[in-house]
Amino acid sequence: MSGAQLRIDGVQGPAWVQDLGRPGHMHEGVPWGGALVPELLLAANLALGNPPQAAGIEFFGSLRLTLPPGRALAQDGRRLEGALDAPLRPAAGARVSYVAVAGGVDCPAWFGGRGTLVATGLGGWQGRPLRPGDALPLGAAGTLPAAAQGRLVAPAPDANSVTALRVYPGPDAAMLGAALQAALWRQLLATCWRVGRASDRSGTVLEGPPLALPQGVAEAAASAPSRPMVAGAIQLPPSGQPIVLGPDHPVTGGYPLIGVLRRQDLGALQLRCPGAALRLRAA
Amino acid sequence: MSTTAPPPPPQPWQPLGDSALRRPRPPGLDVATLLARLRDHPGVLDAVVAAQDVAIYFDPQRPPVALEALATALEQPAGPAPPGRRHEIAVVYDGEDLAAVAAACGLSVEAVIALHSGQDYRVEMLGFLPGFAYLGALPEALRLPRRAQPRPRIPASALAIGGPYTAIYPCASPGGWHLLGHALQAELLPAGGARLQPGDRVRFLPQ
Repeated sequence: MSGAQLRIDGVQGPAWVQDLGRPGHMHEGVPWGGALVPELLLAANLALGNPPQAAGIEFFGSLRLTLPPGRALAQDGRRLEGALDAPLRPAAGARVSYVAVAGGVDCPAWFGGRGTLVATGLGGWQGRPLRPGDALPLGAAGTLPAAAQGRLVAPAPDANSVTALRVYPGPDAAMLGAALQAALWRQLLATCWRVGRASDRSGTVLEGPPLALPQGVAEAAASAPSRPMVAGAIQLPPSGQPIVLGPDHPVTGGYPLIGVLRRQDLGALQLRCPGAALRLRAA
Repeated sequence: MSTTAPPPPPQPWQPLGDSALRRPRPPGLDVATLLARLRDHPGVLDAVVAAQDVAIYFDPQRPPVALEALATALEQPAGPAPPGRRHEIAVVYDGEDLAAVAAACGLSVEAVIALHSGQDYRVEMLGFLPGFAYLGALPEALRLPRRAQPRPRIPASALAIGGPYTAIYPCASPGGWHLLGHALQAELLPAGGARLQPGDRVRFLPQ
């Protein structure tokens, strides 16, 4: 801890501390977590010479900050110079954005990560969204060579791209039956989906014509024991609106899976605003 | 960056996308042994053992190889089960559902408490919430289906039963289990790791 602090002056919409996640504790009921769009947080850290795992701020509305003297800041891979006069906002069309500060946010690690597990009030900064007046401790300033501005290890997803996201077939043919699974798969790929407003860090709702399960299958699924889940898994709950599990998903769940999003495409999904259209295609 | 689909895994593994594999839970291995064997395999970053399935998790760019060796490891009989730790947890039986549970089970409240606190439980698995330990086996006489309407918020430290399990909620959460009471000074989520680990035993001490 360096004694330097990042002050939150104003925040609209949720904002919280996130890093690249805490793999290795799912057997203790702790999901990986981590940034919804890890490519953007990583790019922000690299632009400052921070280690990739340094914690930053994930925010959805607007954010006003005061930096300690001499500390650089980057948003989504772009290093910002000069005074922070205007509030920071996500890029046009993007639901979420990332701020990194040289040295990283140095809140206490919980289960190997500094990110906020929002649904349970654990990890991050006091387990909660950030509020005006919060003063976040910063680590020692970056020691790695700063990457050239905008240079990324992976292409950053684009919220406005119409490119279809890639999805693998689900594993639940035994529960659904081969014919029903094939029919649901065809519908999943044929539908133009919209990102639902109820989406959060546990999952992204896909709004569209409901995918109905026959009564018998739905009842069997409701009494089946919970099974291991994974981020990107596409659950089909009784509402018929699929849910793509996000980084804070419960580690086990009982709804049938009708597909699993390619890991690399998860950030591109989670960057999209509620109401945005999207299509899926077979990986 | 490769865009080719990963090769199909050997039976009985089924892909959960490109970063996890699932298979039926191998019989005859306790959870702690099973978790250790899954997590020890090179390339495996995480593992989950559920009632009927297990899953392993990995980096899609570096999937685990030699799954045949893992299959062989899972077929080896367990050594003597690691004894695990034994936890005694003080509880107060004052839950909102205590009377309703007693009525549904055809027992007195005193009999419910005596049955629930009269045996050791084993941590069958962790899941649902961070540090949420499924403790089994609940006496047959106390087994009830979940509540028809889940509660939107169950407080941390609540002591509850559901199906063949009992549990303490490590943090506040929605939930559909029946509330029997609450645990005293039960910090289940110290920063270093979950307090109750698979294979541990738990005894509830009524206060």
